[in-house]
Amino acid sequence: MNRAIVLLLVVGLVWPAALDAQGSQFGVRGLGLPGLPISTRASGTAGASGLFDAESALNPAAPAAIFRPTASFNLAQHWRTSENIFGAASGKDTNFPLFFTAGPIGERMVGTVSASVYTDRTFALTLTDTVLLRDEPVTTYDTVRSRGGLTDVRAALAFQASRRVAVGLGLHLITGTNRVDTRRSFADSSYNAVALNNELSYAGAGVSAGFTANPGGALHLAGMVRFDTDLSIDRDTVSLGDVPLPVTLAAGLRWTPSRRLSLSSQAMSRRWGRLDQALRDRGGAGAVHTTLVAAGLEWGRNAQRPDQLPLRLGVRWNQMPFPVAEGLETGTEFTAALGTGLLLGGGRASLDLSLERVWRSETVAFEERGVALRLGVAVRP
Amino acid sequence: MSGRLWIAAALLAAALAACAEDLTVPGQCPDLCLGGTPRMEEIVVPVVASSDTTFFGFAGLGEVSALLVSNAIAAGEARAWYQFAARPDSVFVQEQWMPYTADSVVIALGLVARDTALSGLVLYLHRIPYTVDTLSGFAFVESAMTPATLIDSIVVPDTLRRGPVRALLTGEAVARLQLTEADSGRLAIGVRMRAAAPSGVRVGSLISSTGAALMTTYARVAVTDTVQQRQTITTATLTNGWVTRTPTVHHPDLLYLGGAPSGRTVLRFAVPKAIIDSTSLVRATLELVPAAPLHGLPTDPAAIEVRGVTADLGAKSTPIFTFLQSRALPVGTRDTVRIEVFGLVQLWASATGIPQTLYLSLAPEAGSFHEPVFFSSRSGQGTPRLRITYLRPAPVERP
Repeated sequence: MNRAIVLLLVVGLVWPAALDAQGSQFGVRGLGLPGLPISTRASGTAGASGLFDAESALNPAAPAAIFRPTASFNLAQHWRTSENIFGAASGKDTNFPLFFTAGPIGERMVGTVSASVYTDRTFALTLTDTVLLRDEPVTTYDTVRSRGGLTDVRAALAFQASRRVAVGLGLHLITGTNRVDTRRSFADSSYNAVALNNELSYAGAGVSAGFTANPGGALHLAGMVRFDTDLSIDRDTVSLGDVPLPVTLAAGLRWTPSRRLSLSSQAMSRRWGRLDQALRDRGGAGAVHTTLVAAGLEWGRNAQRPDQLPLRLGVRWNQMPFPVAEGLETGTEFTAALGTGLLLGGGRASLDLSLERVWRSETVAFEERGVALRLGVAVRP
Repeated sequence: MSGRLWIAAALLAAALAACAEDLTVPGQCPDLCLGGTPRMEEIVVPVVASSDTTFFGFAGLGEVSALLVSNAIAAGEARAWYQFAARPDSVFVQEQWMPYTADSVVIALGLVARDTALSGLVLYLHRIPYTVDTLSGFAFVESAMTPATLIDSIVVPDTLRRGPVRALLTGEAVARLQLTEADSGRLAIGVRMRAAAPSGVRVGSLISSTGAALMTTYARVAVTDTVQQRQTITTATLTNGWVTRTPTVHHPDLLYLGGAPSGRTVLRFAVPKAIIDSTSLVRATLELVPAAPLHGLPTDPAAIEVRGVTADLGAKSTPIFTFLQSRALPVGTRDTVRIEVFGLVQLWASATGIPQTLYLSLAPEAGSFHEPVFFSSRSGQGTPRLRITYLRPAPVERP
């Protein structure tokens, strides 16, 4: 690989904290808000093409289509408005959801290393309360700021088993830290503000396997399965024990009736419910299994060069695994996306853009609307 | 085309990366608390039994920052006195000592503080025996302040809060300051006051910023040179002091601050290590219960200053001058005096080896009508105590 790829690889691996996803109120509970390890290109179809996308980190078999050393990074800017029974607020943040590098190993094998968001627990809450101090009610203002989450570092091999079938195997290292800073101030200035700082660190591992297949004609199939070990959690130097991580199953379908049009769909099941008891034992609100379905298309406006500024559209619906409050039904997320891309230098570089509109809700009490603008840059020297 | 696209992409990336972060979302516990509600608790820590004590003698009568003069106030009846340096009976003119005749004399005082709410303040200057000194009592000074010894009075303008005031003696009045050989050329004056209501003033001393009393004699010498006929003789204060009708009698079971010679109090505590080391302090208040009503001069407050010490050596403890908590004293009340000492108590948590000792003094130390008296741990009531409010660390992980 050349120096540009090495640089991207190093930056991606030594800066996992930068992989924060968006600061959502739905990331407060459990392990946070799960991320989807897809590229900007796949996000243009709302993730519907994620299992087929060679530069996404979802299906370890998909990179088999890569024939040049490749490095890419993705940048996202989020704007959102959160509403709950305590008020409403608008926020914004920037993050880097996916770093990805790949290179051919021989003629039929491709090796990849990537770092992506597994879950995110970046958020800030403002809490107001009144407590009785020295026989007088005193208003308190708490700010709970959490940064970090879980990062999924994957090393995978994709093998083109035949002209129609590719398989892949990925090894995952799940790591990350979560800094939780709580600051309390008082309306009565006689009381001094205090700050409590804690750092949670996580460690786990996993393995994934997947395939892509073209049974014939315009139809393509893909699937993946992933098993993760228990996740150990430490607070500062104190072990908080282990919690199980979900098994993930995903399947996708792509139909390409012409060079200009590609229709994709995907379904994914993540067995987050395995964490339910472990979270409840720790005083949490539990967890549920989740389902994700997505559908999208990519339409090449230029029949001769379908990769130049194509139109990508997609919608995605998924459940969120961790209820914000105990007793509430699990939340859901609906995403509508559009995107485009551009090949540069004869395909040796590419730029992709996507715009996602996201609606999240958990009953009527907690709602969130957001926009995410993503930029993906890839170089293939 | 491609070059411009690269530039546009780079600018877009830079713009995205430069966007400010704002993550805040409203919430309320326990619904959105990570680890439940942080628990606030309070503890009252009394002073270590019999370890609280007052040490006297820090500032004597000759080292006060102001002299007290009062008229029938609850803080006590006080008179001030000044002893001037010897005034010469001749001046050196035309290379010889020549006698002079005093035409006029000005005695100037510095007013340090007064009750600005009162009008009609008059200071009376009396000639008192020049033998007055810091061992002289109230009776000695007061008995000398008779109508026969009155030098002059100074009507203090109601608008004057602080500054110099003076008495000008001319004509026959100058004779009141006639010095004899028996006086060794020295003059001492006593100062008393009157106002529309019982009140007090503080006047300048040798170490105050306004300075002590100054006597200026405007004299005439019998020489032909008209330029040298008029001479000015300035006489400064040699010693000064004040006396009170009711000097404080110190009781070993009570705690004192101020007075002359001044007292300072040391309080020692034993706050549990579990509080100091393992919680977050949010407030610490020192509570002192007055053993007598707090007297003083309204509108001229004194303050209790509380410091930590680097080493507890009793009266010779070295105060930590960089951390000071103070509280102005009210007047005419027996309510508990509360002083916020958060910074000092937190010092016990952050710096190892800092003793849990509080060092109390009064400011101004020995030139104030305030002389608060508090109950001690030996009094059987009103033991000095620390009221500490703290936050127990909440479990942050509520997954």
